Parts: sequence; C-alpha cells; structure tokens
Amino acid sequence: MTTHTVAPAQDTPTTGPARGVRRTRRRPTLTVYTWLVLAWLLLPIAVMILFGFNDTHSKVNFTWQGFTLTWYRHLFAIPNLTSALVNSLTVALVVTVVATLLGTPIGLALGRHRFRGRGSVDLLLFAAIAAPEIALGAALLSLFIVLGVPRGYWTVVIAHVAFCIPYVAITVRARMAGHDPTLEEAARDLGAGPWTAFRLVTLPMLLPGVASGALLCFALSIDDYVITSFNAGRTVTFPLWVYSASRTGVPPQVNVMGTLIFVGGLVIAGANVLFSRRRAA
Amino acid sequence: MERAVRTDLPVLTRRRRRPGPVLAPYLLVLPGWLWLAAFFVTPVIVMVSLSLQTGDFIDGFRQTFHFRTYADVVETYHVQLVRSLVYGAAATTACALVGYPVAYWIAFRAGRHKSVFLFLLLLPFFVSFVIRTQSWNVVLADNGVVLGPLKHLGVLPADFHVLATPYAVIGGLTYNFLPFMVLPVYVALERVDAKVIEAATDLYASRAGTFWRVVLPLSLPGVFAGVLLTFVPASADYVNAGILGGPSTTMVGNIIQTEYFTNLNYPAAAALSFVLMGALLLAVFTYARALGTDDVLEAAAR
Amino acid sequence: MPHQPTPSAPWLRGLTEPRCSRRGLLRAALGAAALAPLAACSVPGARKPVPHTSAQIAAAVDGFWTGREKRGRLSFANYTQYIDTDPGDQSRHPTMDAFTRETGIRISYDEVIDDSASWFGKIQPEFASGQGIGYDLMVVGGDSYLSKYIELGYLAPLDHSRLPHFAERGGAAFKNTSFDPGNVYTVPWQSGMTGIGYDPAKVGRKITSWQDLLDPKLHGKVGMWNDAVQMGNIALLAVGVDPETSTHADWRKAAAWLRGQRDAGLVRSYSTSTYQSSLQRGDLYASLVYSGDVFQANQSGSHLEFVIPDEGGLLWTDNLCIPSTAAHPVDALTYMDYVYRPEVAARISETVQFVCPVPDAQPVIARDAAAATGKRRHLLGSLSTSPLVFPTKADQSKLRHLRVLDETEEKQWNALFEPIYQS
Repeated sequence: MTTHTVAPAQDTPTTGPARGVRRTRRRPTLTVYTWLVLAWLLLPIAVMILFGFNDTHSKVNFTWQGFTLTWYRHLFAIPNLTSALVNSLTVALVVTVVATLLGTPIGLALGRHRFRGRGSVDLLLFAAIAAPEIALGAALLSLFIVLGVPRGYWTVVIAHVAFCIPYVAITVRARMAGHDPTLEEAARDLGAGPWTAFRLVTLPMLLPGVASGALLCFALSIDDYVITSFNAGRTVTFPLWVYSASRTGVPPQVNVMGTLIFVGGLVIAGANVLFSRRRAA
Repeated sequence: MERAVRTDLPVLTRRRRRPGPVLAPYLLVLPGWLWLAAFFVTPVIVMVSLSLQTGDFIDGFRQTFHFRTYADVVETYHVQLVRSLVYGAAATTACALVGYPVAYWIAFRAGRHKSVFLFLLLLPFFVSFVIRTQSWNVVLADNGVVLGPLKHLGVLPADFHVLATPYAVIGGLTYNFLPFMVLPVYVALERVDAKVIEAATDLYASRAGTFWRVVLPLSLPGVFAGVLLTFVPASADYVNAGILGGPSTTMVGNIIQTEYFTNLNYPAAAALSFVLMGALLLAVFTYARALGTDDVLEAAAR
Repeated sequence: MPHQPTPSAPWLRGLTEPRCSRRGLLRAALGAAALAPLAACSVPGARKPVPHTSAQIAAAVDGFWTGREKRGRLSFANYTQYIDTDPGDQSRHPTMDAFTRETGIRISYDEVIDDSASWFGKIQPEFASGQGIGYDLMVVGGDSYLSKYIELGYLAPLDHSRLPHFAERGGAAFKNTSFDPGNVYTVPWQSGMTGIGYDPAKVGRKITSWQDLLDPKLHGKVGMWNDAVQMGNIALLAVGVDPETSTHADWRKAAAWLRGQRDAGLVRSYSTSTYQSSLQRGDLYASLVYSGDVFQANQSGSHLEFVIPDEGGLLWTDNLCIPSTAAHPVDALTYMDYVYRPEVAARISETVQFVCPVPDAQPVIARDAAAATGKRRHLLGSLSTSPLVFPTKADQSKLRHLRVLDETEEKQWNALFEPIYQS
C-alpha cells in the first residue's frame, strides 16, 4: 500500500539509468520473466474475485458452478461476518487517526531537529519495525495478562496504534529529508510567527507524507492477523473471521468483501497518486 | 526518485538560534514515544518477567526467576525453532532470486511505466493476507486447476501433491513477502548513477561484467534491506504453516500460539517468544556486521 | 498483513546503517532498569471453593437463584453454524424467534466460539476481573475446560425445578456425564460422534476399523487433527482401550500408535481447520471427522461415508451452561428448558445435523419430512432415519466417552500427544 513509493517516481523526470547505457539488442527473456512473476503474484487475487461470482449452493466454494451476482446482493446475509467487517473498518479508522497524530510529530522532529536522544528514538522505531509481529503480539498479550486486562476491541486498537506509529514516523521523516529547512527560516525572517510559518510553509509540504503514512496505517490495520489474534479476546475482525471460517469453507461473501476492499484500496491509492502528481505539477 | 540526501550529515548551521527549537523536538516526540514506551518497551519487559515465573493457570503464576524454562523450551522445541529459521532463510533466498531480476527489469527496462509496474507489484497488499494464503489451497488442490490437468496428461504421478509439504509453506512465505524484497532492491537500483554504468561500458566491461562488478555491488544495500524485511516476518509467520502445511511443517509461531491459547502455559509461551525475537534480532545484526553495509553506502553516495 | 516497507531512500538508509550507538544501547538499558519493578509482578490464581455434597449443591442453587427474576433479555454465545437457520435466509433463526414471541425474551445471539481452549483463554480474564462476560448462556464442550470452569466457580449451579422438559425429554445417554455428574452445571446442547469420514470412490473399499488408517494405500491421504483431546482418545480406541478407564501406560501405547502412523507417511496434515474442505476436494481420502461434517458435505454434493469403527467411536457432548456472572440467568434457564421440547430440538437438528439429545425429536422430523416437498423432503427424510443424528442401538454400544483429566493428568496427556502433530 505504499502509494508514495509510486509518488517519488514523479519527483524527477524519468531519466532512467538506462538512458546512458549504450543500447544493445534487448533480449525479451527478462521481460517475459517479469510478467510471469507478476502473473504469479496476481493469480490468487484473480481466484478470489472470480469465486465471488461463483453460483455455489453450499458453504463449499472451490469448484466453478456458473456465474451469479447473488453474493453481491446478499453481501450482508451473514451477521457475524458483517460485524467483523465493521469492526475491522472502525478499528482501522481510529488507529489511523491516533497513529497519525502521534507518529507525524516524531517524523517531523527526526527530519528537522537534531537533539540529544535522537539516536535512541531511531533505535526504538527500528526495533518496533524489525521485531517479528508475533513477538509484538505476544509481548502485549503478556502485559495484558499480568495486568489482568480483558482483551477486546480497545486492546486491539492499542496494539495497532503501537505498531503503526513507527511507519507513520518514518514516512513523514522521509518526506522531511528531501526538504529545505531554510524555507521556514525565511518565512520567520519575513516576520511570520512560528505557528504561521508552520501552517503556511511546513504543513503543505508535509501533507503528502502524512497522507501516505495514514493510508499505510489503514492498510496495515485492516489486514493485520497475527497481532490482532493475540490481543482480540472475543472481538472478531475480518481476517480473524475468515481464518476461523476456513474449517467449514469460506462463504462467497468473503470473496465479495475482499473484492470490494481491493477495489476501494485501488481507488484511494489512485486518487493519492493523482493528487501528489497535481501537487508536484 | 527523490534526491539522495545524507541524513547523517550535519544540517546547515543556523545563522541565528531561536530559543524555541530547543524544547520543540522533545515535545514533538513525547506523545508517540510515551505510547511506544507503554505498549512496546514495557510489554517486552513484562514478557521476560512472565517467562521467569512458575505455576499453573488455575493456581496462578509467581515470580521465581526460573531460568530453566528457557532451557526447557529450547530443548523441547529446537526442531521447530531451527525449522522456522531454515524456512525463513529459504523463503528469503527464494525472494531474492525471484525478486532481483524483477526489480532490475523495472528499474532499467520499464521505461516510462515504472510506476505502473510498481503498482502491480503492490496490488496483493490490497487483498487480505489470510484470503491470499487460502487462495493457494484452491489453486494448488491435488486435482485442482493446476495439478489436475498435469496429472491427466500423465506429466505428474497421480499421488503427487504440493500442499501439506514444506515446499507449500516456503512457497507461501515467498509469495507473501516477495514485494518486501523487490521494493528496496528497486529503490537501490534506481539510485545507481547512469554515468557509472556508462563509465564501465567505456572501459570495455561486458554487460555481465558491468552487472557483477558495478550494478550488483551498488544495489547490495537494497538487498540487505530486503533480506531484513523478508527474513524476520517469514521466520515468525505461522499463518502459512497453519493453512498450507503438513505433518511436519510446524513452525515456532504455531507453538507459541498453542502455548498461549491452548495450554495456557504463559511462562513457556513468553520464553519461546523471547527466544524467537532474540534469535531473529541476533541474526539481523550479525548479518549487518558481516555485510559491512557502511562501505557499500560510501560507494553509493559518491 | 505483514509489515510493509516504505522504500524511500532515507528510510532505507536508516535500515542499512547500523544506527544503534553504544550510548543509545546504554540508555536503553538504563531505561529498562527503571522498569525493573515490573519483574516483581505475578499472575494471580483463580481457584474458588466448589460445593461437593448434595446438601452443599442444594444450598448453592438456593443461594444463586433466590431473588432472581426474568428480565426479558438474554445473550447467547455459540460455536459457528450450530443452531437452526431459515432455509431461505441464513441470518434468521426460527426457534429463537418463536421463543421470543412466546416468552417476550429477546435473544442476542453470537457465534463467537472457535474451540474450547481459545474461548476459555478469551473469557477467563473477564471472569477473573470480576466483571460479567456479557453472556448469559454459552456452549462448552465436554472436556477438561468444562472441569476448569467448574473448579474456578465460573458456572451457576442449575435449578432443576425449572427444567421440566429436560427431565422428561432428555435422552438417558446424554444425561449425567462424567464431566458433570448429576448435570449440576450443564445440560447437553448437541452431541456428536467422532469417527472416520472417507470417500469410497477414492479408497476403493469399505473402511471398518481404525487400523485402516494405517493402510499403505492411503499414503499421504489421511487427515488427522491438531487437537490433543480428540486425537488421544481416538488413539486409545485404536489400541483397544476404553478411554474412560485408560491408564498412563495406555496413553503411551496410543501415542506410539499415532507416531507410527505419522512416521509411515500416512498423514497428510494435522488440522482441525482444513480437513473438511480437503476431504471434499479429494486432497484427503479419509479423515478423522465429526458425524455432522459428512452429512453437511454430502448436502453440498459430495459422496462421503461416515463410519464408527469396530473398535469404537467417540461420543462427545457440547453443553449449555450459565456463567455465574450472568445478568439474566432466569431468562437463560427458561431458554435451556425450551430447547428440550421435541419440536424445538427437531428444528435445530434439521439444520445442524449432529446427534440430537432429545430422542423424541425423531418422529417430529419424520412428520416435517412428510409435509415438505422436493429436495427438502428428501433431506428431512434421510435425517429422521439417519444413524448420524439418532444413533442406532448397535452404534450406541460402540460409542465411548472422553477421558476426564485433572490438572496434572492434562499436562502429561498434552506432553504425550501434542508433539505428534507439532512435529
């Protein structure tokens, strides 16, 4: 979901390294190979989308029975699945807001200021990203066990915010690094107060980075299985529901919801790319 | 691609220091830092504390600094621990071998459509990890769309199967973590200066020579980042082993899960989690040391 | 989803440079030391005194139920797909709607339980912290977790004077289980059998014995479970021992039987989450299954068979019980009695197709079959005569119960049977 991986590509006109290389005859092997790998990556997604249209008559959904739109009509026929999806979406929203608010200032401080303890903040972010997910989940669960806190909706939110903050901070920091701090100095010299300088100079420059960080957060949160399963208690999110439904067969509604999330993600990512292009122009 | 700015160089010294910025960074960092301290650092310490307790679920656990637990879990589960690291390494190697050419192609051959290909590479992340993994169960079924026709033609023996084997688990891990390898490698390749390649060509280096002696060394930092980003999550993953695995593909993640949720043996579970975390971080730092990424970076920065 | 990189140059560089200075590490260590008091924490136990003699039990029942009144609400936690649904609309549950119409008690129904162990792990902290778990009624498997609930005092003793239908209609085979002698805390919800499910077309012959799961012809095609309770008990049957009276030596024999099966390469996977779909896809030829699994698979077009092997199968019971923290216990008790009416039990069985604890439901299903048409008529007809729902006398004589384990035994049991599927 790192939409801004795409965005930097537009920062400079595409003078690809290949331009300087003396052209020799291109062999298509590598091209074919790349397409094959991409096909391999996208195959399960195609399967998922396809079987959302499968006219199956039972909970078992893996042989093609014919085309139908039934499952789009009866998308919310399974109440528990619906509430799991709602949980996933609301958790992701809350987490995105909180983690963005907490992570952005860290990124700003790391990108802009040099201060004592900067190294240890860096180390903390690095450790939080490098540590395996199951260890994060297990550590938080241990904390909740020792404190006697029942696991549920809010413990999931806490866990998600904890693993999203570093990502937001790093995304924002990357954005700051390419930016000239003297601009803000100039604004200050021209008589702007600190808040005005921030609002008129720094904030507009930060926004794409913050937007990317927030999107990344949302994507990470809505799809997280491991950390959630450790800290969810009785709360069920969409990935958890899908995992436990696999015993008796995943109903086609899951494919449909997966497809809709997929399309929604595409739309938002596309909008983000267009938006940053517009800004860059 | 953004300009490569050395973040480790001192920022331009200000002409005038204002009193404000001295406190500013601390105030900026504080809220997020507090959250991480409370819900990342503290939990790790509590987990270690829990791993040293003894007792059982019904009668409670008491702190006895029982270090034997560590010896016990490592002894009991060393097979699964080693297997997790082996699977993680295998998946990482596979990601590197499969992913490097793709990154190379996107960086050097994709021309104006780079962003489109990067986008295609990221598409899987718009689909739930669990669903993606389960899809392979449908695709690779013993008589499914892939294996069925091959068996029918007699290419494969009738009892051939991919699912429930270590290959399925490693394949699933490779599949799920491939983009984590391709993206950093791509970024590193992007940064390779065209002039360097031109110079190599001018000095009569063959294409292969240029690749092995110029491009590959320059892209190693990306490979390093990719290895880090694939090896750690792949070794600790238990979803792939749970969905695609067979009779002896249990990974340490599955054990941790069982110990926490089925056996309610919290000390053993916490100890095992900590051992896994320690082993992985140790592997990462050893790797960083061995590779000497500094020199590579120096070269890249020039 | 696993963590996602943000491959922008500075961040990558942050990854590719060792950034932890010695000083940083020292600071981190000092910070950690400041948190040392945490090391002194512990996890409190949860044991409570439990009534044993009949007088104590009677006193406990009085103590719990005196002054409790109907509230008109009830929340019910269940396993997935474990209650009747309207054939045309999966989200409607006719027997619950009828209950609400009759008594005015509104039910909020959640299918939130995956398995005994994880459910126990989820609600235990809520019990321990003294708050309600938000449910007045839940389904608990008849296994060592049920014993834990009872020992910890998490269940309300039942007032049998308000359960007339259970007394009158409950099948004798399902009452007075070894897990809960005298049904002090539980009444059965549904029962089920564990046996072998197989695809006769693939296996090419009839399967009659647990030993058939050692047949080299089934190499790599047998499905077993990652569930120590069920696996241990069926292995005991396979080595010819009645689980309920088994000894530690028998357990070792049973574990050896399972290990032999694994090491011979017969088992394709140990999974409670995939065996059903694998069996239908043909990835498995034979598997450990619950009786209801095969019935449901055949409803969706498979042609599987279920068999209780000659050495015996397992009869297990999932039970209804009321948490001691329930806010609406009287309403829960009313519902408990309601499901023992033959017509209600019949409706539930028509959907879930497990073993029905109310024998009198059989003629009701037969009547429903006569009144139905087409596919549904066929389905109900086969259900009313199905030995999977109403086991025959011959079958019943072959069924055994799970071994009840205390805390110590459970540790030994797990140490023997878990390594088999966690290899």
